[in-house]
Amino acid sequence: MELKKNKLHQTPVWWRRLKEQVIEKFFLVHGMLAVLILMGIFSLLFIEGFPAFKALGLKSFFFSTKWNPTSFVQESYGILSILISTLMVTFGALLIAVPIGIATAAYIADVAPPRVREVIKPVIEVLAGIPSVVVGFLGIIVVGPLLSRLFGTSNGLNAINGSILLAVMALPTIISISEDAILSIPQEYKNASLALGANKWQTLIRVTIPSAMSGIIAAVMLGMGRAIGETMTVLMATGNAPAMPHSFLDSIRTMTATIAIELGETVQGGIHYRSLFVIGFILFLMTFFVNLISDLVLEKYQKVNR
Amino acid sequence: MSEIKLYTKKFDFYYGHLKALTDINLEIQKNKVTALIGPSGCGKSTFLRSLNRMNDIIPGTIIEGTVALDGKDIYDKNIDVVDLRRRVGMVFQKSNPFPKSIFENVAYGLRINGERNRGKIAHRVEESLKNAALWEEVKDRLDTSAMDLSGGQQQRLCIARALAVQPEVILMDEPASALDPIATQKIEELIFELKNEYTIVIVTHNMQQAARVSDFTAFFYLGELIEFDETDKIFTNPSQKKTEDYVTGRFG
Repeated sequence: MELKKNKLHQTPVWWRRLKEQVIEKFFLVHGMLAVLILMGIFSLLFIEGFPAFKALGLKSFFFSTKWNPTSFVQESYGILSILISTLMVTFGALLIAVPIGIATAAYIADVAPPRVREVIKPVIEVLAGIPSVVVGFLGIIVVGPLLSRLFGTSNGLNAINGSILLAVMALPTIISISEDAILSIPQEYKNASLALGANKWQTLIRVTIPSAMSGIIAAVMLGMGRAIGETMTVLMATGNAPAMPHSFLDSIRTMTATIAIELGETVQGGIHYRSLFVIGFILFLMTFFVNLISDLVLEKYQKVNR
Repeated sequence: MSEIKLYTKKFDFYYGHLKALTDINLEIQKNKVTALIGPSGCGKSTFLRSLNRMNDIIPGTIIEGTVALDGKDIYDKNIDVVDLRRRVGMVFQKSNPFPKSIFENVAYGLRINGERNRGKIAHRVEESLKNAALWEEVKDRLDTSAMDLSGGQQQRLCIARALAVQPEVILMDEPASALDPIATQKIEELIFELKNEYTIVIVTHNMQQAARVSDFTAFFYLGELIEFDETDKIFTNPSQKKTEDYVTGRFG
């Protein structure tokens, strides 16, 4: 009798439970979708690439620096040089982009007067929207000649060129996500620091940035993901030489560029075709581990600095 | 007998065009607790923050008149704000420990002031935590995050952090307003202990608290200092009608 007074209770219990469950499943499916897509990509790369692995063995991929799948004499599938090239430009890019990115983010979030901020922020967003081909142009026309004059090399299409361009491309990501992280630090932390006699600089370096570190690490990892996966820019600006690099001034070719250049010209299902999938598979593993490691670092960091 | 630690003379304060304080003349005595009471928006927190120039970080604030620490104008051009804030420490309404370990929170003020000697830092951290009556509760977990402490412990940690730089004056902005009665009592006992070594100025909404902990009380209303006297007098026999109305709960 009591219940009937309340209209809400007039819908049957079984109906409410069913509705609850359907809604729950609905969200579960969408949550699983990302996992399914990831697993799909993983298995596609693995299935397409595995025959090449089986035919050639681990050794010819990882312990050879010679990538020459179209040789008439002796095809070779060593990915060591393109793997190292990829790592080189990626870390080179981070070396440039991380300090600049964090400093810029700190400036925009914490130091810049509002009017300056209103100018810089949209500029950075525009920078993020520039197509990678255009950045590649920049590498060939501006950065390349500059580098060749600076270092006295015959041309400037090399690893350092790629690093600079990738840094430019990773910067907007690193800046805007770090900036959000720094902005989200409550004013109370800064007040506490200032009230203890810290100046603005000490407060920024010792309180604000460390407090925002989890967001900044996430920003760097996203920037790194961008750099590892970028194809067109490095293809255009790094000289496209699939040989073992000895310094940042050598021309190189990255894993992504190799796939982009060669996949269209291979026999579908052939060893060369499948070996490109192996490269894709390794690229996938690399980004996967980058994310995994960053997650672990974050978790450890947050335990103390929460 | 009594020694003036801080005084203000004809002190006016503006947020842009808005006048928040008018003609405040107040003398704060050394090693005493001075309470600032008054309804919300009466300017007591603004006044408190003027004493260590924390209002400087708000753009567009203007001051007129004098605020002096040991007879020296703290708004003088030659005064180093950093040095001033080291001498006049502050505890905020909302406990705001840094997202660092307990130890690092207390050591922070020492580190920014250039102290590098580990032994000295460890010693001072222990001493400060003891003075803030927190040592026994945290001595076995100094390396854990300060954010895991309870609200009352966090506030005492903030007091310890302020003590570590050995200030002369401690400003407290409603330090117990977010705490339960037991934690509040601990803070009040602590204030009572601390006044032996420090000059304390405390803003509070809680009149019983002002009556319990302070030696002097200043009553602010609409940006003016209505009455300032010994706490006993303010609460038993105030000379102004406004003060009496407020302390007896007739408005505010």
